[in-house]
Amino acid sequence: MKRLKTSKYFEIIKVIFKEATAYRLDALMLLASSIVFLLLYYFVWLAIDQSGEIPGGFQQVITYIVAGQIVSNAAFTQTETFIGDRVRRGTIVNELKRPISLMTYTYFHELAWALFNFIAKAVPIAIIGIIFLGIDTPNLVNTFFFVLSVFLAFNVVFLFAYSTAMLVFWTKVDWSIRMMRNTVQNLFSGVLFPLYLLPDTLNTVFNLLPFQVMADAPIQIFTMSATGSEIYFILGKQIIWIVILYFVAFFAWKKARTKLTVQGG
Amino acid sequence: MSLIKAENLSKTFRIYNQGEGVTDYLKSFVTRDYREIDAVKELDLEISKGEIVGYIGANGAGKSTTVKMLTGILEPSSGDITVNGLNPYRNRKKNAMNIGVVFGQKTQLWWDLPVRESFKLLKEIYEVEDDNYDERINEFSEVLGLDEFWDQPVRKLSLGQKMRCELAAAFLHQPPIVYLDEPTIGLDVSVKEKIRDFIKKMNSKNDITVMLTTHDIDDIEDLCERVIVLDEGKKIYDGRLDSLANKFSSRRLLVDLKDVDSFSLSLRGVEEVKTNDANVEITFDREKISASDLIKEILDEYEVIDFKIKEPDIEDVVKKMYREGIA
Repeated sequence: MKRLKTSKYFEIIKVIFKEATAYRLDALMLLASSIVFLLLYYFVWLAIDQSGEIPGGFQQVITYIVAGQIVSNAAFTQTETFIGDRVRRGTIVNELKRPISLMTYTYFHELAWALFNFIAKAVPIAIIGIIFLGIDTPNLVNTFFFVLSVFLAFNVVFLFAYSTAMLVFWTKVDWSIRMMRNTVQNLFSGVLFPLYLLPDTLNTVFNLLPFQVMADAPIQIFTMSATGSEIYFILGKQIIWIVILYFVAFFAWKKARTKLTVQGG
Repeated sequence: MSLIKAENLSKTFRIYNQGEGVTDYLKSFVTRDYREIDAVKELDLEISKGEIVGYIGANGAGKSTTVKMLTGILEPSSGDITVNGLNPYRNRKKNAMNIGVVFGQKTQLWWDLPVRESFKLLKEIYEVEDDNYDERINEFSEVLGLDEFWDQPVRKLSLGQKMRCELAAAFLHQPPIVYLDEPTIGLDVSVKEKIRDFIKKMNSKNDITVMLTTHDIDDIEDLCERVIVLDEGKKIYDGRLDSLANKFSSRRLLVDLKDVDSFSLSLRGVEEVKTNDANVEITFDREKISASDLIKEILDEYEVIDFKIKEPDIEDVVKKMYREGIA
């Protein structure tokens, strides 16, 4: 029985990953748009660099920004849309009739997509960054911990998104919720601008928010600004946020479940 | 002992009123105007092992809402449910292992994947052993003909093919109870027959209890010994089908006439005559008067352009129950 239970989750990942590959053309277009964004960021920061001095210099900024694009493309989820679609169409009854919790199923569904995005988007962006944009590369140890930290970042992003996705049960709209979450997340996590450029007091505030561990934390490992025990501190901080957000997500679902109606059909 | 038991079960929905126009819409952000609708009202249910129970009623009678409460998807507003010894809402996952469910209008298969992948995933989710899985898929294929489209992506399947898959999926883990919410909706006669054969076989071979909601009178007549009739959330009949049989014998005859206005008819067995713009709708009891006799009578007296006989639907049955009283 024990063996059977874990194979359940592997099978979900396997099947959804296969489903994701059915959208290869879609993925290719999304990769193209991700590359356009990457270049956009590159030239914006190049322009900023040429109009004045950036603390730490251009090389450091661009390595940070490209690492941010790698992280945000891999630790990416559309949980709000996944839930919202099903709530609006009423097909959520299919997820709720099976002997698996909605959160667990959604998690492995989104994890499979994240894995797909990692291969189809994050890796190509890393290669482009290293070969064409000449960013700094981490050593082997930091590369390993970077990947681990991206995985933890995915968990934080997922749990946060799952909590906000529960709003769908009240609002019945998901797109606006996802856009809002994404915007806030990009702004506060380091994807839009490096957090180390912020003044100290503001930086302290940002560091207390869950968004910091969604991108800035793994980026620090990539850029080698965190080494040795600092890495463990970062991973530990991510795990703490995962635990906290797990409880938030769990109670958000408890509340949302009572709001479920699915009338008719 | 009863396998499914519900006592005093009620479900109330709040319908929020958004009103009309921009001002009403903006107002709805501040004041939440709502009315309450009783989808299910003080319902008692008791179903024993091995029964096939037809659960019928007009659209919006509360059938699906009941099924969603019995499956643990919706929380009852009040009342108690015990299914196989469990409270389905509080033990949703445990209860899910004991039940199979088909929601006829909501396919559960994975759209972009071949049928086989959907079943492999369901096999893991329901923790079905390899040997049992192979055996059952073979057995199901014989009746439902799954092998015809086993390797095709679900999105390419016809409605009938999809429904055959849904049925197989519901019985895959051989649960003691299966709820079928409109499993034959929109299907042609040959697929309907396949599905009924399959349900019968599963019920007789494995003693699986089936609760079936449908709008198709033939489903009921073919499968159920017992029916429960629901109207506006309340149970109006619960008993054997045969003592209700005369309620199912209504047929409707539509006659296009040259001159509608002068039409009048009074014959034994004719229950209702409704005059529309260009045709007349006659409800008659086929036990009392045959369609051919009725048509002959009309042809003798009026100039008929066209006519057709309509199969009865559940709405007619419920109407007739009110008109004539129950059994």
